[in-house]
Amino acid sequence: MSAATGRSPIDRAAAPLLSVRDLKMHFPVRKGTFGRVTGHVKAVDGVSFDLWRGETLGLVGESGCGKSTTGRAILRLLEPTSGSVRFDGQDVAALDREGLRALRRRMQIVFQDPFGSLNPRMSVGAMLEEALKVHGLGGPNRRDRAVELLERVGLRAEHVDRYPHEFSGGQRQRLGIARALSVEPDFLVLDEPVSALDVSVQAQVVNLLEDLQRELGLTYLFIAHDLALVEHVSDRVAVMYLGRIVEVADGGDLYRAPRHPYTKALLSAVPRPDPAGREQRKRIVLEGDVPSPSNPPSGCPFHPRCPSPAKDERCRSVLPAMEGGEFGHSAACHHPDFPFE
Amino acid sequence: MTEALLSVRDLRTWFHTDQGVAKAVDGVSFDVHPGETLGIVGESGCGKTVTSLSILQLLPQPPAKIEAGSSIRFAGDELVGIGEKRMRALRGNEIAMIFQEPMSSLNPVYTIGDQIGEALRLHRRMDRKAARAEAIRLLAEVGIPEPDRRVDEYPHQLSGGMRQRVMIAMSLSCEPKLLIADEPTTALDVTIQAQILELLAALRVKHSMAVLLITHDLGVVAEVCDRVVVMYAGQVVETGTVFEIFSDPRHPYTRGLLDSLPSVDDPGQRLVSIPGTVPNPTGWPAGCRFRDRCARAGEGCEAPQELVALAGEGRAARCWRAES
Repeated sequence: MSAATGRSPIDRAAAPLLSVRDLKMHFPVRKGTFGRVTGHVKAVDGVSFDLWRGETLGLVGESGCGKSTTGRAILRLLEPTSGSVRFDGQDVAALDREGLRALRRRMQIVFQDPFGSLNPRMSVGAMLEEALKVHGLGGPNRRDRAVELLERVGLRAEHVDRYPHEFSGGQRQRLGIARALSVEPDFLVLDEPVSALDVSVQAQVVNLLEDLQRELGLTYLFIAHDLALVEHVSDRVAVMYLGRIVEVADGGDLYRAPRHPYTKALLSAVPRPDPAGREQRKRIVLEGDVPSPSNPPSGCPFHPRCPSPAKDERCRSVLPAMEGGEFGHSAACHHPDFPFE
Repeated sequence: MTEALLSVRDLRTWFHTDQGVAKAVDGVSFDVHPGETLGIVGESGCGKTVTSLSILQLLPQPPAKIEAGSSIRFAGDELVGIGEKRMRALRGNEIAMIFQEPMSSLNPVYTIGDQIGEALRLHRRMDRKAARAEAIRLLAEVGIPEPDRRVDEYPHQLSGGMRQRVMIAMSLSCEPKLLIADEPTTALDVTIQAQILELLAALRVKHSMAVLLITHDLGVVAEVCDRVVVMYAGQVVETGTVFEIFSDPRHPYTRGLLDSLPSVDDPGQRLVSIPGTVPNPTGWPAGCRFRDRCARAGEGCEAPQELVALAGEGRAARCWRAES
């Protein structure tokens, strides 16, 4: 994929830029007058992965699978319950306020909703200058830097005095990207960055993100529910289900030869813009809904919905670990690769 | 071809506001035949939802106004100017509708059974007991487990996919001839979307109803539609069978939409994007409305474009170059 996008190859022999181990984010459920804790929503329940410099890892899954919470816990926008996050050798959990502020210059986030994440009362220039000021960047020429950032993301210099409501959805998402880039980060969490946009505009923003990555050497954690889009932008893709990663592989491998039954079902459920093949296409339609993360099923969390004929007693009682396959293609399943349609 | 069930001709729904006249739907014509699925596809602001709300006359008038000269014929009757009383007899009965967000279309303080039963009691004159029994039968038909228990639950007790099933059960209650589905799966996850699309397809055949599917998702269109209407800036820009639209798009906008999709089968290629954004409905561009964003724009595009009929029944595109 790097050939097509013109990026330099990723050096996986080097130390990873981001290393996440057994990350858990449990939210207490409180009931009654005294706020007694009656249970926990296990939004993220043991997520581990590495991310190398210049790489894009796609994180896909359905709503409630914990993908956005994972992104936020990595940046410590949420305090993780347990687990470790190391960024460029630093233990993110151990940082004090000052340390965290310094680190946030290097890790930034772009949110899904460009309408909700921009202050409606701040001009674009003021917004960008504030980010620079907070981090002591840009010196006396902060305004020039703001203009430069706008041009960087495909907006114009005269936009600097405008307010968010004067922009279209795609332009607002460009503003969100400009704000994230203002502090010259190495790593961006992109949380559904184009989901709220129309297809034609989606493509513009995706192309912009790819250009920026190539030119600035950025590392992305790309969180989305759109599988085709994730495959397009990612070097590797991790699939989440009920707070855990169930499969991870190089993008192409995952789509060509999914190993986990959930990934198979997810891929077969994606509507294809190709009516010619629709009669022949076999679709695995999963029964039921995703179980509640406050009371996940025993054993493999996917077993109540799993369509694989290989499903057995072990699936109901033992939580499967991530098992590596060829070329780092791993899956958390007792019966990976079991063929079925 | 059989006679159309729904025939929309030169529909113009304009909004008269302080900021000017927004010509949200500006001369739209299409037919829906009995038993077929017609998809209306387009991006936000193209007028697809206003078109569907105009058919059911669910728009507040004013500010909306269905302009003189517009015609909506359903099963031979003209709906424009028909009056609220007669429209009510049709709505939810002959023509049913489901929306994107089932939570906001369901009343939170009534049980599922009460809400399905209301339509049965109103349109089919059933008593309470019969309506409840029929509601349970409908819930079972749309694949809701334990329907005799679910019938007494409230909307908040159901998941998003289940709520959409309830909406479908409600819409089926009076055996409509036409179901208008406005982004019925947009709020749902992809595995739940697959369930709902399969359900709609099965029910369409079983009840031999026509479906007017409104969506921005070309994948969904390709999976379920027989024919497609592509809308842009309040107008129809291309029509054809789903196969013609996807394999041989003739309008540059349709082509652009298809090219901008990332493909699961062919990743790594740079996405083709359409420059710029959708224009504002209070001031559509003069001449071809797509001209500012079109890669092929040139001489001949300054004039307002008419739909050019192409080979194939009902095949047309609003571009003077469509034939080449």
